[in-house]
Amino acid sequence: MKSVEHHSISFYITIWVILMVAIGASVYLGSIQHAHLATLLIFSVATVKAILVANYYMGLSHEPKYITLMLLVGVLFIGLLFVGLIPDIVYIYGK
Amino acid sequence: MSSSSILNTNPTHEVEQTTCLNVPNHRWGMWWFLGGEVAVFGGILAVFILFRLRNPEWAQEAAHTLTWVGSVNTVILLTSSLTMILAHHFVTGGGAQGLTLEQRASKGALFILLTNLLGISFVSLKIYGYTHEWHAGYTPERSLFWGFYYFMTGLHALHLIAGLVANSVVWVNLMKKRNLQRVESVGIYWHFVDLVWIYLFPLLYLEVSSGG
Repeated sequence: MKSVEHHSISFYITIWVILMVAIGASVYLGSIQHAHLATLLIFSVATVKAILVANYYMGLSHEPKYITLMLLVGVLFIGLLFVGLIPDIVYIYGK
Repeated sequence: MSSSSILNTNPTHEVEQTTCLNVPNHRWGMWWFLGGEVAVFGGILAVFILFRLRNPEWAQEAAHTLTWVGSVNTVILLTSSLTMILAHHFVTGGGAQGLTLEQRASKGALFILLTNLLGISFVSLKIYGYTHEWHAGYTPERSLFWGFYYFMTGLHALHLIAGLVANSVVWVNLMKKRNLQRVESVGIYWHFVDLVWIYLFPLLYLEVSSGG
């Protein structure tokens, strides 16, 4: 059977340290009030954290690419839902 | 005899598992399940972000959530992901090489136990946060933001509690030195619950600007 991961303990701890630093960065950026750049950075940091967890803790980086594609299909449809609802919810709802 | 029944009765976990396209069936099952979960949480997050864009004043509402609780819980959950991957590392991953079945199972059980203790800490702190916010008047009736807040974090907490139950079952399996491959399945699920929280935390606990 093909195992998901082949990394060392120090590798996993390094990933964890990066995640901890990223949490600190998010909290700091969250204290910058009403800064659109901060919002962008907060979600960029969140996405970096998500990619690290998915790739190295969940083991997606070792899985065949079609597993990732299978999950991305869901994300794609969520994106379509999001874009399709923007006119109704953001600009029309309640106005 | 099916592959799964072989695994259930063979305590050594040394049998070859059924695979499809070079991926073991138990991992296929978990990835398919998580594909559905992506739709569930992705849909909720998408609708929340849409309403957040519609209501810039929600930044002030988010200021009343306990940021320190969210931050500490993020640290707890990401640390539990580390202990979970270490459980997998020792049971079926690279760290399992050179270890006896007993050593693999006992190390795995230890790290699963640590993962569950961290998960229980997360839920306990979440309950503390809920209690504090509820008594301060921030109930779901107050505004749509708080309705989303309790629904999204509550649904996430239910998933985490389900993970705690699954981890406990696997812990019992490890103590009996059976079904060691299950660590991999519950691990993937646990990391996914962690991944969802990574997005819930900035959306609900940080006063991010909506751009609206």
